[in-house]
Amino acid sequence: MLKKEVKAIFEKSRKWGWVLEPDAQKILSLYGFKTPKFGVAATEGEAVAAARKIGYPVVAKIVSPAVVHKSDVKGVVVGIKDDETLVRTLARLSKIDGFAGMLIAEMVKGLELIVGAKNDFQFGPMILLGMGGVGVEIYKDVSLRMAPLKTRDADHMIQELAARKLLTGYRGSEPVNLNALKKTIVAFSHLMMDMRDVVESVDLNPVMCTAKSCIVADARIMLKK
Amino acid sequence: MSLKNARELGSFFNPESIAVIGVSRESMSFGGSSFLHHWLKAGYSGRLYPINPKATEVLGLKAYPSLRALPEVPDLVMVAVRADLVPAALTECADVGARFIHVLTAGFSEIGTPEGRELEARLAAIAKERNLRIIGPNCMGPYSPASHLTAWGGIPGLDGRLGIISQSGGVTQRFTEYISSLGVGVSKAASIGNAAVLDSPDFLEFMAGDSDVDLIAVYLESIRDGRRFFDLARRVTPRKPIILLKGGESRRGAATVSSHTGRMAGDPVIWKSVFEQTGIVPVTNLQEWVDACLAFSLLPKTRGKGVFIVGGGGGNSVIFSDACIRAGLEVPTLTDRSMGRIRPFVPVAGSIAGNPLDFWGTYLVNDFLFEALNAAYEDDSIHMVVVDRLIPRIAFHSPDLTSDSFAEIVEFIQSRRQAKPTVFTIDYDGGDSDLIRQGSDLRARFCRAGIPAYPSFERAIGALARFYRYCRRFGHAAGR
Repeated sequence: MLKKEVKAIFEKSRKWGWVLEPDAQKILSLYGFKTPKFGVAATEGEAVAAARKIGYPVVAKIVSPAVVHKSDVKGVVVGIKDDETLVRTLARLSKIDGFAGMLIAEMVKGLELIVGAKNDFQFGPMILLGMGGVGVEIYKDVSLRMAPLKTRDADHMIQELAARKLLTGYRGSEPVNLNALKKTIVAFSHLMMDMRDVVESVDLNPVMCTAKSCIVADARIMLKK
Repeated sequence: MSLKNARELGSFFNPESIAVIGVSRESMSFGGSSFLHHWLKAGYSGRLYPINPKATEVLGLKAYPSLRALPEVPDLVMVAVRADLVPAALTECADVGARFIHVLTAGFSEIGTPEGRELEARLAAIAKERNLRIIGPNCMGPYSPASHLTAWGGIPGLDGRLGIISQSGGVTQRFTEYISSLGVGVSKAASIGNAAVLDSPDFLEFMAGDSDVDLIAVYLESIRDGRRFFDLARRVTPRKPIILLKGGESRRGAATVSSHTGRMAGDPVIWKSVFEQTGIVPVTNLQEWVDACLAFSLLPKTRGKGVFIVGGGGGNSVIFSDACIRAGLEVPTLTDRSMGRIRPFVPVAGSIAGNPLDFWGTYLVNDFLFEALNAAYEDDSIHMVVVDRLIPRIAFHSPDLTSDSFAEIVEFIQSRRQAKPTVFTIDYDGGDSDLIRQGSDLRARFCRAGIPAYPSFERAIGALARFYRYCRRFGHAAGR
């Protein structure tokens, strides 16, 4: 069963067919996923206050029902270190079509992974795990399973990635917390099962993995038509 | 559909009476008449009712003008009339209370027109409204040698423990002919075509609960409710292996699927994960399908991946070892104890005692072969055995190699049935028809005696690798 707040978010998102990032982040944190600290601002004052509360450096992202692919409209700015850059960024983003605010979030670091879900027309919810960044686009280094998943499935998915060595520590790099990653994948598969009647696909991209934790740094939830 | 309902699908495979709507008086071309002809020829023992308003007799059988005119409600109705007449035929079935129907007729969603799709939707709607169980349209329907229901498929066919679910009558035809000729019989096959009403999950559920079926072979191009198939397969595979040939993997193949059965092939990446998660054994062609079914039908379970290779020739030993490793199996070193048993009869020069065992004597003297096999059966590092055999005429310097030795070999292996999976390879597919015949005769003789024999080492290893992976996954539940 979906939580009441989540149902309300889907209801309101229906008119543009997908869930805006602040709402998507809210859904994820309601279900216990680790997400970055964030605030949404429409004015200079709100932006500066939010950024100072989170602490620089921050990342700023466009919030607009008209913009599904934020980077296509240069709607993501990372590594903002001061008020001045932040205000300038707000001025630029506010000119983008459908501007509904600017999301200001804590910068998170780690190994970039993609955890996704797709509601297949024959098989229902499928869960995808892949290397983020160029990994997923060029190498198509992904693993797929039917939801819901058990820890053992999540483990197999990780083992299936060609780049799994990057996760377990390669040439002195710190291994990521595999238990946290498996927990994230398994929990996400259950969330997808809960949402399958309304949701077409979900991209948690990137999920930032470190030796400590896995943080969902961005999320896009597309609704069924 | 619940299991209670799934059981009733058995009615398709052992009907006591069959009515055929759509038989011509003269023509023996493909259709209702040719099915009747084959059932008669196969000695079908039930009652056959040709339906034709203009005929009094068809193929020596009394013809009836309609289902209503029959003396009983037929257990099975085959519909072979023109596509646009099918809905009326189904309504007639429902009116007389006939519920199990095979629609042979093509010309529905697979032709890709709105009319075709509309007609198929009507068929499905009638089935739902009138509670009919329909196989098809556009398919060969049920096949069961035990019931002499062999109008297609291997004819006369061989009764056995194999269940087949297939979206292609043609593929199933070749498959049943092939595997029956090797002594592995079929309990039931369902060619389901467009699967407008009953789909592969329905037959999977039925065969899962059918005590006459031990092994399920599936040919699929598409599926409507993949999730149900997935959930079912997960429950079935630990008890009954499912060997699945999936068509439509390539873009071209997938495009052909829609004109074959009017459906979509689905993403191959997704199918791969279905195989992973369910333990379904995937194969990619008819040969692999037959090879795997032979292994799964005939072999005792394996406890590991160590292969003992018995044959002759240094080059063969090298190539065979490579094939094992490539397939994810191993060629372990024999224990000192095994070596102690083998070494005395293997000459130091020209042969190699070990694994592979490269010794021509194993072709010539059965006692050598049996001693090597006994050593392997008692060696803990060995889990499976592949024995290379030669067709007498190509045993070039050994004219005394005759096929008489095979009876003794078969007896030896049969007496050690529960030992370790042991298969043979008899390798000839060149152009000499005499050698082809000798090779296939020897293979068939082994297979019919319950010992898988393959036409190449690679094919033997392909089947053993699949068998090993299944046994590893399902452990105690696997094998016989």
